[in-house]
Amino acid sequence: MPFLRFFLLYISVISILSTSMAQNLPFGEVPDHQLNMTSYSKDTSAGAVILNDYGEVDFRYNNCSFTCSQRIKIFKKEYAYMASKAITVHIGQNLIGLEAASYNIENGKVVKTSLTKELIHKASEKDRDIVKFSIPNVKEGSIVEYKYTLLSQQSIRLPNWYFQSQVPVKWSELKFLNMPISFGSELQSWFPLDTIESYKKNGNYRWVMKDLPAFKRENFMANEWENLSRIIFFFDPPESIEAGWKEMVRSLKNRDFIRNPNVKFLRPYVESFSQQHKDSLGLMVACYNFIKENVHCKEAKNIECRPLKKVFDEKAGSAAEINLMLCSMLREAGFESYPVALSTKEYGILSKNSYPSKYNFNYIACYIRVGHKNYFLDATEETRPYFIPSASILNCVGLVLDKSEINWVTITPENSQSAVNWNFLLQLDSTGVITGNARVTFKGYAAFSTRETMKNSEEDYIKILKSRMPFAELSEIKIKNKLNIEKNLVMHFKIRFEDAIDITANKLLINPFLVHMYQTHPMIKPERYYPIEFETPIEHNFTLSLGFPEQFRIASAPQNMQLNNEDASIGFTYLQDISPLNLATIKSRFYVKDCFYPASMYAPIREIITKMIEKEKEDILLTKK
Amino acid sequence: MHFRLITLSILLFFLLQTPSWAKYPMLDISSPLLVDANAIVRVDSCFLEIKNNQKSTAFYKYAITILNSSANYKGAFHTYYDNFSSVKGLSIQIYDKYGVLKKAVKKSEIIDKPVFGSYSEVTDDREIIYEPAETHYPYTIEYEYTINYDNLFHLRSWFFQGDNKISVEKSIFVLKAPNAHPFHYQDVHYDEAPVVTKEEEYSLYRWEKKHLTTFKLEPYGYTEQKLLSRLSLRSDQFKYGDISGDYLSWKSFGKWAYELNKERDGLSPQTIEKVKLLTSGSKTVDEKIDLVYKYVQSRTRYVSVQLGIGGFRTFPASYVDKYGIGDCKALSNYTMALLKAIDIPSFLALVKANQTSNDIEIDFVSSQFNHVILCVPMTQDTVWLECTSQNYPTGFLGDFTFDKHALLITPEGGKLIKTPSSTKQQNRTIRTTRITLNDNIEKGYLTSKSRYMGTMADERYELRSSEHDAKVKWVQDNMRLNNAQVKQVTMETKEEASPYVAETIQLETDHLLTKSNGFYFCYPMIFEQSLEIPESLENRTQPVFINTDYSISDTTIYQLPTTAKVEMLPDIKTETPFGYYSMTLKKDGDNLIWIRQLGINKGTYPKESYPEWVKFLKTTAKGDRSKAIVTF
Repeated sequence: MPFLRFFLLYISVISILSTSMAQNLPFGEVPDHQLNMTSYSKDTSAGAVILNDYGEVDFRYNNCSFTCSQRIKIFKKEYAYMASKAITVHIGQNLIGLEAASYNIENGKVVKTSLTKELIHKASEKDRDIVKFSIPNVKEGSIVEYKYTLLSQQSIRLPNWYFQSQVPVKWSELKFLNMPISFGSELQSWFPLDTIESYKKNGNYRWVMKDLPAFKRENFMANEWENLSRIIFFFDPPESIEAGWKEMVRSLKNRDFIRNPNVKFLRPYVESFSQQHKDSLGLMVACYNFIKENVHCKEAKNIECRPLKKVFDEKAGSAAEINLMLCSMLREAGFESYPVALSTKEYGILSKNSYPSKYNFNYIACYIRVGHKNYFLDATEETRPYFIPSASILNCVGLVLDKSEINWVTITPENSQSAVNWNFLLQLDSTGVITGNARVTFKGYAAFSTRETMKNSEEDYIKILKSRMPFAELSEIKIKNKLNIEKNLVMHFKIRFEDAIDITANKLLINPFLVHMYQTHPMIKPERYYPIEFETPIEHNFTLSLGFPEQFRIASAPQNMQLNNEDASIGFTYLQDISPLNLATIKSRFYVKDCFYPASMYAPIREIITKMIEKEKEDILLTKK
Repeated sequence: MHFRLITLSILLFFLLQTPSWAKYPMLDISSPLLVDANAIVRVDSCFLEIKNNQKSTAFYKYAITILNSSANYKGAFHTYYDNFSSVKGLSIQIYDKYGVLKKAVKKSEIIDKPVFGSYSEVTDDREIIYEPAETHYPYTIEYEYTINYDNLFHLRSWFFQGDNKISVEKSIFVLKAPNAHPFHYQDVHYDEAPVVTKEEEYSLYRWEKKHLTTFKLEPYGYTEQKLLSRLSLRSDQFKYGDISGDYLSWKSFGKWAYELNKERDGLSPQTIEKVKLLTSGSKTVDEKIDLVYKYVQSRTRYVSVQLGIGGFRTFPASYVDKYGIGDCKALSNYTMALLKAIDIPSFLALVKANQTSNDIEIDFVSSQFNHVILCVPMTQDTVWLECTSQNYPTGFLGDFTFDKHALLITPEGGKLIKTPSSTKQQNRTIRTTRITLNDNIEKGYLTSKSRYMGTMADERYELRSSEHDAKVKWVQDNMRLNNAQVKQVTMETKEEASPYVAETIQLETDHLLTKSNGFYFCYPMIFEQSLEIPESLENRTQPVFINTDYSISDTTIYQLPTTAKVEMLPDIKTETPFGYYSMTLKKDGDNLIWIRQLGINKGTYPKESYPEWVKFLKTTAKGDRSKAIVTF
């Protein structure tokens, strides 16, 4: 990873970095200047702002209480929904002291409307209650405020604290009081902490962040909460990160389901596959196909595995269970294969510097060596061939549970391509009508995702295809290798369209880029705080051969262009060639090789995409001789 | 004795369905049912018994064969229940392709939980869910369960085929009703009368459809809803909560709704004083309605609380007044109460709100509504108020409720009337975009001023109160100039005789003209989207339905440096029964002026005209690709 994603804090190294005075007023005390605010100076576009957000965990009396209070200023009615909340109360917890009110200025006076019992509703589920409440009388200009305490009798729960929100946050603060034991914490943020205070003697701690911008989901983000500024806590911190990971690997390898997974029930299948396939790759693929066709993946929640026989009989299991089963089956077949513990991008990106905890993992993949090649097998999706693991673990870091003490790997499969090649062979006639044939080839992840959209019916994909060329009539669409998933997906069709022609002036304009890489600019915002995450590498190749009638000549065609970023991992090239035989050939290529770029790379990437979009708008000008 | 009779009739009913040794073998499916199908419903049946004036019981049996993973979700079991109903005896079985039992689903595998909804929704509904995890296809999943209903308010609708992409082997509906119990039914695309077996005390009515194949929808054709065969049933009498009602006429059903909701419009003397004071300065009734509507919009928000009979009975007006929250009923009822305080009578109106042309079946009196709006009758034009919207101007109905039947709830009973529809003149967009370029053509400045009227303004009414970033994002996502950063967007509602949204957009970009090899290209289409061209069907079987009337007039003016030489492309013009289209370009001094005119005529056109319609759309697409070459 090219930069430090996680910022680790250990209690032993914490000192007072800075102290800023709490500028916030007690609950229920709403000053006029807050009521009279008409916009938030740091983001005048904001529809609401969280003025303060407090969490306080008090560990006194052998139980713990978690008190939350929040004050929100509503500028736009659209954000009135923020005055409706739901609190999850787990078994063993009690909700006490729920208080809330709205404050408005009516006829020059402050009017407070409190939450009453009839606005609080509880729904019970098996292991938790959900308490919903709606703060009354919320208008544009209202201040709303709420507060509650969750009391835990038996166990101590440490909160995950999110500093950031979908609206700007002026002040967010978490406190621990009377913390009796040592703990570790992990902060993840693209913004700095304002205050960290630690008074180890009496067990008091405090974390503050100020003036955080509203978090809005942008393109190229694996998930939202991964990018929200937050802090999470752990008990029993290890001496060092490395020691912690070593200890974790040791204990994980000692777990029964890793050390001794029982897959005797798979032996008959292994034997029969071994007889059918004398080459090792064939045998590996047979085992892979067998598992993915027989066990359905329900979820990727954690890496705890039930007995594999039970999973197999139920025909359904977690991603970890399925891939552990595959790994064990392959071992049974004589391969050297190991489980890799991972975290999906949706679950949170892991690094060697992350806090050592088994809760950081939610996935197991299977790492195998066949001949001189390494494979990362992932049998969680029936329509995915063996050479591409789920895109949600692509380029993620995982721990191999092999003989070594600690072995980190990055999931960089042999074949991580995701390419679409568009080939058009067209002929223009003298009336401005263009007809011809097209061939599209989808490779790797692109083939997989296109097959996914065709799952229900081919028409679902054809609709998308037509919407990319709305001006054209497509016919005789044929799809090859739809079910043959180890092969490229290939599509052929006929195309016909009329372009702008002016016969009198004998001039003709044609936009040769029939398929654009992006229909709308995916990075329209001028700046970005968060890293850029591509789901998979990208390759978009476009080739057009356009024949035109003898009496025409090309007066102008878009000029060649080549762009790339510093390490040439992202680029766009465009080349044209006009042959004297009345044939124009246009080639363009856009590629992204890595999946992850820091926010600092946003501007150069955006520049390449902007220039590409402009290039794709350029026309060929033909004139009559 | 009574118990035996039921069991016997259920038994008889189902014994006729399947042989006892193997269930649902794949081989039994006739080949026409496999065409374009990812799943085939083997049996879908309901045995509904009306027990008395209060209670009914339905026994359901459903089996579907899933051919591949894409249809897995169609095999999932999902049903809701509430305080007025209970689900009993659910059993789920899974069979392999030979019809051999593979799995009997355990109770612990079935989820039964409260419906969560959003933070602003509270209900006492619960849901039961089971999702099969089969990986061997085909397989068949079968459900059997009973639902007991504590009232006859909703007496089942039955779709013989639920989806045009799923074929059905057989679908059966049997009703057992005491002979003395009055009920009515309406069937659609069901050509015969039901088979009736009369006994001394009760009668059995049986509807059955077999071998329903998948079918394709045609673009601009009938909606799926219109083509599927179905049956609607109602008990003529019902009791809901504590009030009895009947479906004998819209009038009497409306009377029941009135009784359920009456006397819930009381307001405190202070509030009455406040609303009187608020409207005391205005002379006309229209002005007063406007003030009251805006008052409601400014101090309420939508929060849905549906508990007990709360689905049909509104919260009292005093509740909304006190807390500023309510659902569609409560907000309409509150507005009605405020208007009443200043002696303007108004009525709650039930409506089936949806964005398609689907309306209620006016010939079949029953509860078919899902939304409440308010109707203020006037000597001239009736005013309709969408009290759930925070953003609509007074009197505006969005495309969810316009041109639909609404049932007015009056003290005399229900009255069915039509909500207003709109015309091409009312649904209009008028826009002028001015573009200026600096001397070296590097930078362009764009200002566009638009007026959106009628339904063309619908989305913008919602956006108007959003934060600026949201407006910018919306404009950015919807404009064709995909490489420019929008600087400023304003949207204002002007409430003149007919309200409209006035929108101004400003942007500045290096990419207004496309530069290529010394030539510059410019384009007229910046904010409008081209109409989609549907496939050319060889055998069109259905009429062509065009659901909305609208017109767009879009002028784009490029102010070019005086040295510019422009080569223009010819104008495109067409006029058809479906509408008109023109794209014209002229040079006026330094100005390059494009005018795009589009008008679409609502109507039903014969199926033979479909190729003409496609041709019209192709002409618009060609015109929309118009451009000019500029050299200096």
